[in-house]
Amino acid sequence: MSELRAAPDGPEPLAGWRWWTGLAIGSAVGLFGLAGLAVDAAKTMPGVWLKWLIGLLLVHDFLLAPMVHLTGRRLRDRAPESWRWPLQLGLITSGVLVLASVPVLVGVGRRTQPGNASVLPGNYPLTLAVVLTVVWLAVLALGTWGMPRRRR
Amino acid sequence: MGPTFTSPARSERTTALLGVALGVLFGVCLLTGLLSHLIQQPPGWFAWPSRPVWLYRWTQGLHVFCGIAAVPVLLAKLWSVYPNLYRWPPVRGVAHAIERAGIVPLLGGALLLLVTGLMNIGYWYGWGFDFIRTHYWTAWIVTGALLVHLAAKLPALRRALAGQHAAADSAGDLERRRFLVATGVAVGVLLLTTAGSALTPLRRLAVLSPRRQGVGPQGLPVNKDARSAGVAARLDDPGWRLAVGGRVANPVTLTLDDLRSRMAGPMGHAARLPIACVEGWSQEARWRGVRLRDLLEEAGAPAGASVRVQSLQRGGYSSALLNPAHARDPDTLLALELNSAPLHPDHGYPVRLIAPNNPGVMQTKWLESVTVL
Repeated sequence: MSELRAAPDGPEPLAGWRWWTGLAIGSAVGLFGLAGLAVDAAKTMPGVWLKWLIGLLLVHDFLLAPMVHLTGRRLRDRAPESWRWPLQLGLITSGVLVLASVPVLVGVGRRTQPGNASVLPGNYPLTLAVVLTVVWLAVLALGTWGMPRRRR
Repeated sequence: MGPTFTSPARSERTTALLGVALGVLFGVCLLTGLLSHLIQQPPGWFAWPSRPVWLYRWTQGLHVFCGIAAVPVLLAKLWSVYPNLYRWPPVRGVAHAIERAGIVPLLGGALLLLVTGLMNIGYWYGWGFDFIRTHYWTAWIVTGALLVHLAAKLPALRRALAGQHAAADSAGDLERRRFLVATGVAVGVLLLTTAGSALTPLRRLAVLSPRRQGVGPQGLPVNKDARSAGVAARLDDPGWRLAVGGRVANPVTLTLDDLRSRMAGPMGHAARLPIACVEGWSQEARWRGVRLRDLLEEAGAPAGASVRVQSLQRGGYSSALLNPAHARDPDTLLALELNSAPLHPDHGYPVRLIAPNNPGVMQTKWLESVTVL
């Protein structure tokens, strides 16, 4: 198995009218956005904006992605074949649910408008736990009884 | 040097399929976002219609829920190309260096759009910068970077979608399908547990949504309550009047009783209209009040005039501009009642605007004046 398996960073040289046209138009659009951000600096705070942008990249590349990578490796090495896909399904779904629920779990919004009970009205830790339970019951069922595509 | 990557689910085709899905989701977000921006800050050439009633509800719902759906798709796509981070040498010439440098605004910007969007609908402004302006300009930056990225990846995209690689590797094919299905399941569960804040049939499932249909005073969510808006103390002022003025022949000043007696007469009207928030949630309700059109006629406003409504609230969203189509729509109301009861203070007591196909932030509450322009 090759080390970098078909990693799609194409060997083709970047040339030709499509590349240069795309580069010209894309750069113009991107610079328009950057200019807007700079002109609006009092509201957009480009320094803070850049910290968030770079910060999110770093968190993804050097925290989230390695964690997912190591989990995936462990899954491939240790999990029995029939459990691999159910576990992958459960881990991906749970991870995404937890990440996307961080704002409602932290619940800062309740403090933003203390008099507004319609903002974040749920008991999110509880409902997230219920949803995750349902997901993992499905994982358990798929792992135990198999799934339609397991045997070819 | 770096870690070794062996998953057969990674392939040019995996990346291409996820890229296409992501392109569609971000494309919908861009178009619906620009549309919402145009509606709220209309240039001279743009006139947003008042019909169909549900249109803004749908475009803005699509904006938010395509953004939510993009979270797992973006993460999956990044997973599929993650080994490239460890390629050596990192660049192979000037053009390749430009292309790789473009990944920083593309990826950083895309993550920023999704993260700030998710935080914004959860009312968490933990970054300091103005959300709307920054989200707007970042969207242009990401769009530009995406065009450059597309220009670079078009040959690979075509090759991968033509399926030249898929047939060669059936084990990889199965793994790829499983990975894509898992990503799809994640999207599905995420949408099922949030989209019910706009899609009424799914409302009971919206257990992870920052808003729920039916939850709020008079069974309707509130974007900003009277206390937070700084108007709570002024709502019971017996001296409150609604002034109808500006470019009119007979300026009118109305007490709450004046409005109530008009509601009981031929100017009175009830309509089922949605509140459609820019944050994606929406809910229909029954509103009753005085037709704006009739009040404008009483004051002698010229036909085809735009109208500005002003709230007792000061600062953001305290007034809204209604174009002629909205001002003259037979369902545009100065509403006094919601679901057959007087407006709750948080819904805009004593009187608020409710117009068809109008963003929630422009359905101004706690009105004090109507000015014909």
